[in-house]
Amino acid sequence: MTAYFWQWWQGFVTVRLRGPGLERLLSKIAQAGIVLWEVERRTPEVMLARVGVKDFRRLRPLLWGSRINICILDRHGLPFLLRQIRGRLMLIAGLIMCLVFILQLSSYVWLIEIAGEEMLSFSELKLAVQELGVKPGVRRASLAPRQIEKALLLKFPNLVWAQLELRGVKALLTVAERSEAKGAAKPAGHIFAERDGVITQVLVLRGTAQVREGDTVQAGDLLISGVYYDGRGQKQFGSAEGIVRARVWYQAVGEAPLVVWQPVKTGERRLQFLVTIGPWTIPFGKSYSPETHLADRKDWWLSLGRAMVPLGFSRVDYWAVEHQPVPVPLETAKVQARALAWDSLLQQGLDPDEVRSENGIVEPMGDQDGIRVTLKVEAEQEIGLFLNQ
Amino acid sequence: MGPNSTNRLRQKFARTFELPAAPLMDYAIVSLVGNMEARITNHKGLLQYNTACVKANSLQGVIEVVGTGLQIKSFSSSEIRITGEIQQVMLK
Repeated sequence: MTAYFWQWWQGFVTVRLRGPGLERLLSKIAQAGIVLWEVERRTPEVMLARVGVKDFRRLRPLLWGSRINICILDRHGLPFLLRQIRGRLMLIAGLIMCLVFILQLSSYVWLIEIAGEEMLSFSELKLAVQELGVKPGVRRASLAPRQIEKALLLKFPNLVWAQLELRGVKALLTVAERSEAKGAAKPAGHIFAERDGVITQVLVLRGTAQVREGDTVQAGDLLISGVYYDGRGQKQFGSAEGIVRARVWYQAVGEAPLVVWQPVKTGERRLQFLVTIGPWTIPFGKSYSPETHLADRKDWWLSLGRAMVPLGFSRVDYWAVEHQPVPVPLETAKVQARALAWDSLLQQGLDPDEVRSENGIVEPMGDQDGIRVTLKVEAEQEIGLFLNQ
Repeated sequence: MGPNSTNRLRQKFARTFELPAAPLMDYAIVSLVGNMEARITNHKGLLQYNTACVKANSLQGVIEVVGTGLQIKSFSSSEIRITGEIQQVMLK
């Protein structure tokens, strides 16, 4: 490898020797102090070999008087490369400028990542580190990680450990929070009904049950009281514990259109280019509203392994569209409306595994342009909610 | 003083001072690296070269390397480096 690098540095050529008595010529060349390498015999009269650029000039006189001719097949090495790029000074200048630009950009922090947070929220910690100067676009050298860590520990008493690492253009904050002490006394309080329902099961672990199986309760009713009598018959007020399950009912509505207005490309296209440097985006060309144009965006990001450089280039194709009505089959509309109703049920806190029965009513909407599905679901679930006093 | 007497003198000198004979006597040295590479040092010119046989001249006679896929990796006045699958090395 070293030998090859040295040859490449000095430059070498691949030559073809053609004629009779090639072995004799090779001996003559060697006697003249010229080194050949990768000597390859192609046919009895043809040989390929590599020779240094300086030695090649000394090679020609040795061929005089022989019937052997020589021609250069290929040129390799730095001298040839330099000759090639000599006429492209602007290309070199551009490459150097680009390199300097990338190096300059990589001396800033562009990304902030936070790991290990549990009770504290991500946004809370991000805001705190931003107040301490860790924000996109700040110079890496201007940050003092140890001081920032100390300041974070002082600001959040729940933090027991914090580490700020600068990895390339990324600042990674890793935190560890204080875990709640085991066996800590729970505050005194009662368990109340979270929803309306009919009680199916009551299991009291601590406290006094205020409802029985078969009772109808409304949201906010007391289910298990924290007041109880201990083994010595003394009245105590503590933390109510237990399980209260009930049959509950959910209702949700989903609507779906029977006609949709779909965008159809007219064939007219507009281009926009975006150059992104860190948090800034510079547009070249006009933007169009999604109502009149469909956007097809392609992004290219410059990255150097782990050290990602926040330099991006995007191309956005805006396709002009016209909206045309397309009828939706009734069955498809029903499925869509039902799916929307289920989404709504899930958002209300329904666990699908707890569903006992389901009833759906399909009806046309007032303007006849869509349908409405009303879902009524019966479920059995725990409805107890502990509230401390 | 003829070449034979010069050689004898060199041989005697090497023996007296317990020096290695090869450099003094201008002996050809053939080194083998497994059956993949052969180096002929102190050769006196190339006589024949193809993928099956390389013959080089030396003061002690013709050195013949026989094999398959033979190629001269480097060739200089002092050394020939041959690679390929070497089967025989002969001094004739």
